[in-house]
Amino acid sequence: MQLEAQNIALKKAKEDKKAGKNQYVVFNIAQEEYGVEISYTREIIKSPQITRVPNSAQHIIGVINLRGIIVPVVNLHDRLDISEDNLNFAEDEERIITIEINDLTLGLRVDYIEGIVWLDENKITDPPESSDGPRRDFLKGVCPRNENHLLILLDLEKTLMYGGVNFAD
Amino acid sequence: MQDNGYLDLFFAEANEYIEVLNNGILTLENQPDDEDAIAAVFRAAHSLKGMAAAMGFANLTELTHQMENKLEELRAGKLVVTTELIDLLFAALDNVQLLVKQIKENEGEEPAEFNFGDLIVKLSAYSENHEKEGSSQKQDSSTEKSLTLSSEEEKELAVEKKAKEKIYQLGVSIAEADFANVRAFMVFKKLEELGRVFKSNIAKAEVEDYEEDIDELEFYFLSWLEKAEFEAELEALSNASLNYLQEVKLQDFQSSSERESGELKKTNALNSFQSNSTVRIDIAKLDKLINMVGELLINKTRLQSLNIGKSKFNEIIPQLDRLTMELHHIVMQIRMVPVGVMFSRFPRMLRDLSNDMGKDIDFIMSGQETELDRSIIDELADPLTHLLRNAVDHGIEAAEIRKEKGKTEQGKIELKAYQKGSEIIIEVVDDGAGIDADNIAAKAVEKGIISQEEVEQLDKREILDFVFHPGLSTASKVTNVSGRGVGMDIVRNTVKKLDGQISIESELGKGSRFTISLPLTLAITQALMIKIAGDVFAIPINAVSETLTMETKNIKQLRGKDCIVLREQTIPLVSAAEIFAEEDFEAPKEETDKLSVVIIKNADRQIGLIVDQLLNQQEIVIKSLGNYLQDIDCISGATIIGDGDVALILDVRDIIA
Repeated sequence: MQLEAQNIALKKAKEDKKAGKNQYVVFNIAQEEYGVEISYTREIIKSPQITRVPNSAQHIIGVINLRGIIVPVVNLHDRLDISEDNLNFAEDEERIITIEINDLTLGLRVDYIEGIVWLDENKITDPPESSDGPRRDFLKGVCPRNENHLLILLDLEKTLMYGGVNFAD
Repeated sequence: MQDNGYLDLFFAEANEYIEVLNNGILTLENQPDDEDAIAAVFRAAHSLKGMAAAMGFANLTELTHQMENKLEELRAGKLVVTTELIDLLFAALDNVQLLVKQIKENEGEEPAEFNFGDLIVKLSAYSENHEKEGSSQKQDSSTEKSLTLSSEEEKELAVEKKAKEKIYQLGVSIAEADFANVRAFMVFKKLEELGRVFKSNIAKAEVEDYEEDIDELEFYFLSWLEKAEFEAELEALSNASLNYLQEVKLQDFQSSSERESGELKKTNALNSFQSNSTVRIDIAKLDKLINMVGELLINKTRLQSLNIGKSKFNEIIPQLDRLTMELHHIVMQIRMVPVGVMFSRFPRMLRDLSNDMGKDIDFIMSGQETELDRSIIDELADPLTHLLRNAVDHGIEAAEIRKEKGKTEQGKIELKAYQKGSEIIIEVVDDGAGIDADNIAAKAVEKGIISQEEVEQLDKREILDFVFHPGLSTASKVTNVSGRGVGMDIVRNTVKKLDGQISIESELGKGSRFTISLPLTLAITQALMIKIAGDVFAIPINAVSETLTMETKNIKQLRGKDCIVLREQTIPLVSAAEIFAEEDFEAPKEETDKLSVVIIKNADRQIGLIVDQLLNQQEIVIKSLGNYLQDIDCISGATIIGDGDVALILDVRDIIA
């Protein structure tokens, strides 16, 4: 029975994908809502002890032990140039989203997780011009979540690209 | 429907042999004389036939039997490789492949009918027209060979033979009857330089007092040399002439006994297949196994740190410790390969190179049996090739110049491997011109790598190190052998990538010595755990010379830098916190006049690293930081420590550089 239910859900996901719908993991950083495509994400974990890596790039917080694999964790505040004023630092809500991208496993540290939503790809638009928002070149676009606020969608390949690591290849 | 376990085994092995055959026949097409390829395809065909017979696949047995026959004749030198033969072998192989596929589709039964066409007839008829013309008497003179091995001796030989040694059967006749005893003795002496005598018709000890005429000496002989090299050495003998020389494979003994016992029985075939005591393993599986042993070690360490005071616990932990250590040891052993496997290509290369350049060079190799991790060996061939080429090209001078300088006209290049503690050392030594440090310094200044003032501060060793700098080649003339100016840079990078170190010693006019030191394995090592700026770090123990506690008042100054004088040696001091602490990190303001110092070494340089605290020594599993964190300065990797946290591994080379 359970299998059947799963199959139905899978089928639905496929149909939705055809209809231009995709699932996004929504999280919060500095009181803003962000979303990343669920296909990149592997799991959401409570932040374990992060070991700082000296001499690494500014946005690398450090590395964690994910079941025996060393996984770098990225600080999205730094990467997106978000001011730290609005950081919501409740340690017990802080999470790491592990993502897999071009054979690399990385962790994204976020303030807290909101949930998973279905978004209509057709409704995603270019981010509005504004001076104080996150870096525009890392964004895939924005999507209206409800009447009064927008969900900011990250282009993960661009966000995580730096130095010698270029996912566009 | 046959037993599935055997069937799976059959398909797995069959496909492997088909691949070997495919590659081997391809090689033969291009290099008809490649004896290794001939031996490999013969073995594969032989094994495939054995398996097919054991499984009762008559068609497959027949087909592979025909292939084996032709290959055997090829191996014995009775046939030569022609396009026609290659085509026939490929056609046969295609049919083998088709048959195996059909057997698979047919659920383990051979198809009732299989049409080979005239392939079998053609194959078996092939030899009649293409006997090797005047096949050399040396090889065909099997009647002359009177020295044979008993089956006990064959077994003994199989044990005695090292992995990369070859077995030769040879006979020499003594040139002249006068002093035949002495001449025979000289033959023994020469042979002992080339390898080991396993059996001879007259023992070495008997030779001197041998009463009867010695006209022929026959040997079973073990040597690292390739047949061609061996033959060249033997033909240079002045006291005797070579009658025959044949390489003998261990499996020849098996196949000869099979022939004696007549038709191969099905059960025998299966047995001979199983009696082979080695297996080939996919390297990826081995790596996975090593990773898992690594995990086990980490968890063992975590368990140990729990420190449960129960007596049962204290009883189990040492047992677990022993088991994991043994497991680790065995897994590491599996990966070890003698360096001779790689070295064997060099004598030929050196001979060709020195001929090309008209230099007379004595090339000596030693320590071929030294074992190294397989992955290291694969990577090491190119750097060594480069160093040896350099030694021939830039190192050894032309004979006239050597004579002028009062050296022997023949130059000498040595390639040595040996183990030193937990490291493997490989040296390339030449007695050539040496490297001119002044010249290097001038070049480095000229290329803007360093300023004149800075260069004057450096000692000779530091200047010689510029040889590894990208874009600095000292060959005043670019030859096609070396001197492109990128080589030495790549050599150092490759060695560094293997977690090894390379250093140069050179004396102008006397020669140079390149020393590469490598860790025994890449995966697991002993490390000293330390604390820097509140974080735990690991230093591989092979980079640590010693640890000590010193008083601040004992810090000396040399050219404005902190130093420590240790047994009359001045060693610079570096604060680890300056390299590794965050900018805003503030050391706990404990006024202390005691400092913990780790003396770390890279090649022959030392630095005293001041750390917060010395912790313990433990075994660590080295893990990569992955592709996202590449080339982090002063960090070479990471490991997981007892509490499950990550500790970074210091890159001693970066710190000292």
